[in-house]
Amino acid sequence: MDTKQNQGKKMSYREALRAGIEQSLVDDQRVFLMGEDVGHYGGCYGVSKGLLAHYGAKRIIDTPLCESGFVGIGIGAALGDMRPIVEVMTVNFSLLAMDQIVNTAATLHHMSGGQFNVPLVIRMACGAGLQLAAQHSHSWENIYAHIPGLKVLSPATHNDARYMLVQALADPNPVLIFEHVMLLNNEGLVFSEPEADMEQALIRKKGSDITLITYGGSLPKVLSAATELEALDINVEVVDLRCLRPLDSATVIASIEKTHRAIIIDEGWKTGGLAGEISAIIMEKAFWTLDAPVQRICTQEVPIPYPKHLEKAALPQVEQIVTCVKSLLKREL
Amino acid sequence: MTKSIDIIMPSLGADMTEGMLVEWLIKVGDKVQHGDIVAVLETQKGAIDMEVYDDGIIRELLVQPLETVPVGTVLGRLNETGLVQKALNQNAQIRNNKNVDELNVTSVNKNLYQTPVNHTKTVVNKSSDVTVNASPIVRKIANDQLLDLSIIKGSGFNDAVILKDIEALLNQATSKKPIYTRDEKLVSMRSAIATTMSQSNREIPHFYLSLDIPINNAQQWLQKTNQNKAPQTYTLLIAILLKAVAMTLKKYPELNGFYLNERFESSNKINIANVISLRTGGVVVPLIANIDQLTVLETMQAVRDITMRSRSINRGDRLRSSELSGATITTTNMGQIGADCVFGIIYPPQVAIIGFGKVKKVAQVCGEQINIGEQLTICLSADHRVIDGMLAAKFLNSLAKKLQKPEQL
Repeated sequence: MDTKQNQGKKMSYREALRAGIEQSLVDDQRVFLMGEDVGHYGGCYGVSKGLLAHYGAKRIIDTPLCESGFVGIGIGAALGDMRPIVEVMTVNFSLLAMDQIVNTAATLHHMSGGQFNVPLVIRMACGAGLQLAAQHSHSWENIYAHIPGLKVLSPATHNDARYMLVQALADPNPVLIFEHVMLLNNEGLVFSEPEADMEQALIRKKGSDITLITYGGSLPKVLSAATELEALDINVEVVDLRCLRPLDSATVIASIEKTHRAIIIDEGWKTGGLAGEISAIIMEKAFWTLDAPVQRICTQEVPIPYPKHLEKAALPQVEQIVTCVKSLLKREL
Repeated sequence: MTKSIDIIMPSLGADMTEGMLVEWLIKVGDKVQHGDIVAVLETQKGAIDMEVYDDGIIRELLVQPLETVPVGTVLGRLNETGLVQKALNQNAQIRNNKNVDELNVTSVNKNLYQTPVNHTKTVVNKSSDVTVNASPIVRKIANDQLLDLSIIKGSGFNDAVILKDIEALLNQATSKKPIYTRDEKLVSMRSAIATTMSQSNREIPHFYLSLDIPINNAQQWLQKTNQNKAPQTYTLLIAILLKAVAMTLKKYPELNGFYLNERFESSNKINIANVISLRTGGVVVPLIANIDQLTVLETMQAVRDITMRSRSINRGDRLRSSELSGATITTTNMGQIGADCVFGIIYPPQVAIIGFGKVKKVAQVCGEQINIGEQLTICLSADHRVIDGMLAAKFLNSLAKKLQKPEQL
C-alpha cells in the first residue's frame, strides 16, 4: 500500500459508488447492473454515468418502469449464478418490488432448506432533503431491517460507498444498500481498502461523555454536532452502525459501557423504527450501565413536507442533537 | 425576650448511644414549626427523619453533616417565636418532665397517618416509589459497594441520583468511611438488639401467660367490612387486635407505661409499638400513637403507613424520630409466619409485651355441640415488679371479651 493511497483519494460520494460498481464489473464477469435509466441516462442520480459506453448493453441494462419485474429478474439471475446489481431508483419505489424482495429473495435460502442462495444486491437512493416531497423522500431502512433473510447496508462515508458494494456482492445473501441522496455530491476520502467487514459498526469519533448512534445520511449531522459540542468541552462518541441488519450490538454496547449515556439519531420516523429497536437492545444488554434515559432524535411523524423550511423542520438537525446532548448531560447554557 | 432552644441528638430507644447527622434540611434563619423535619439522622435503626419540637427560627447549626455524635449532643439552636408565654409554658412542661413519654408530643397529630406529607415543608419529593430515584449504573454501584443512596441529593432527571452525584462520595469512601454501609448497619442493629434484650432479660423478672381466644366474630366482621373493597385496602385482623389491646389497656393502666428509677408510672397515652421485620434483616419497633382514639379503620391505615415507612428509604417517607421513642407497650405478631404463640422480651422501660400467634381452625365446644371455628393464642410477657399474675390474667380475659364484639371497638 503506497502512502498516497493511505492518505486517501478525494472524490464525491457518487464517484465512490461508481468506482465500486466498476471494480465489481471488472473483477467478476457475472456481475451486471440493471435498473431504470442506469444505461443511456447514466442513472437517475448519475451514479452509472459512462458505464454503458464502457461495459456494453449486456452488462448495463436499462429496464422498463416495472420494479416487481426487474427485481424478480434479478432474483432469477442470482439463482442462475449471476451476480446482479439491481438499482431501484429510490426506496420509495421499492414498495412495488416488496413482494419479490420480502417473499422471494429473503425466503428462498430458508425455504429450499439451504439449497439456493440469492446473491443479489439491490441499491437504492433514500432519504429527504432535496425537496422531492412526501413520495420521494422516505427512509424505510427499518422496514427492510425487519426482514430475516436480508442484509441491509447504509454506507455513510465515502470509503463505505466505495467498498460496501464489493463486500455485498461477495455475500451469498440478498443485500440491500441504501444510498442517501444528500450525500451524493459531498466530497470525501476513499482509501485503498474497506475499514472493516460490512456488518461491523464503526466508531467515527472517540469520546467519553455520551454515545451518539446513527447511520447513513445522519452521520455528517452528528459529526458536526460533535464538533460543536467539543468546543463546549463535551466529548461525544459517534457510532456509525453501517449495517442495519444484522445490527452490530456489541460495538454499541461497548461504547455505552464507557459513556453510560446514549442518543440515537435516525432519519426514520420514531414510532416502530430502528431507533426504538436500538434503544431496546440497550435496555436488554446495557441497562445497568446507563446513567440517563436513552433518547431518540427522529424525523417528525408527518409525510415529508415539500417547502424547504418545513422539510428542514421535519428532519433531525444539528441544533437538535446539540440541545439533546446538553440537556442529557444537564449542561444547559 | 426570645428564648433559645437546643436541638439535640434524640435518643430513639434505650439501646441508642449515638447517631450521625446526615443532612440538615433547614438553614440558619429558617422558620420552623413544631413537627417539621429538620434533619436526616443515620442511626442503628436506619435513616430517620428528625423532627423539631418547638416553633421558632433556626439560630445556629453546630454539627456538620456526616458527624457522628453521642445522644444528647446539641446539634443546633433555635430562637423561640410566636406566643411567647404559651411556648414558655409548654417548654417548661417538657423540661420538667423528663419522662420519655412527653417527648412524643407530635404523635398526637392524627393527620400524620393520612397525609404524612403535609406535615412538613421540607418534604420535596413525594414519590410513590419506595426506592430512591437513581440511574441504573448508580444503583448497581450502590448495590456492589453497599452505599446508602437515600442520603444523596440527585441532580439527574426527576432528581435522580446520577454518576456525577456519587463521584465525590466514592472518592470519600476510599479515604474515610462517613456513612454506615448496609452491612455495618445490620451488624450494628444486631448488636443494639442484643444489648437491650440481654439487659431486659437480666433485669426484668418476666412472667408469661397465654390465652386461646376465639375470633370467629372478628373474622366475620372483617369479611363484611372488606366486602367490595380492593385487597390493598382490606382491614386486617391486626387492626382489630391493636385496637382491642388499646381499649383493654384503658381499663388496665398497670400494663401501660414505664418503669424508671425503680418505680412504675403509667402513661395517660396509649402508644403501641409494633415489631416490624425489615427485608434487609433486623427489626424496627415504631409506635402508633393514641390508638385508643383511632377507629379500627384508622388503626389499619396507621399500620400500613408505618410498615411502609419502616421499609422506605425516601426522605419524608421514612420513620420519624417521634415514632421511635415513647412507646408505652409493645406487640409482636407472628401471625404471618405461623407460630402458635410468642412470648416476647419486654423492651425497657416498658413493662409488658403482647404476642399474637397464628390464626387456626379449631374444634370449639359450643353448649353440647362441637363447631369448627377460628382461634388465636395471645401471649403476655409482663414485668413482675409491676404486674401480678391475677391482673395479667384479667387483662387477657378482658381483651378476649373485647375481641368478641369488634363492631364496638
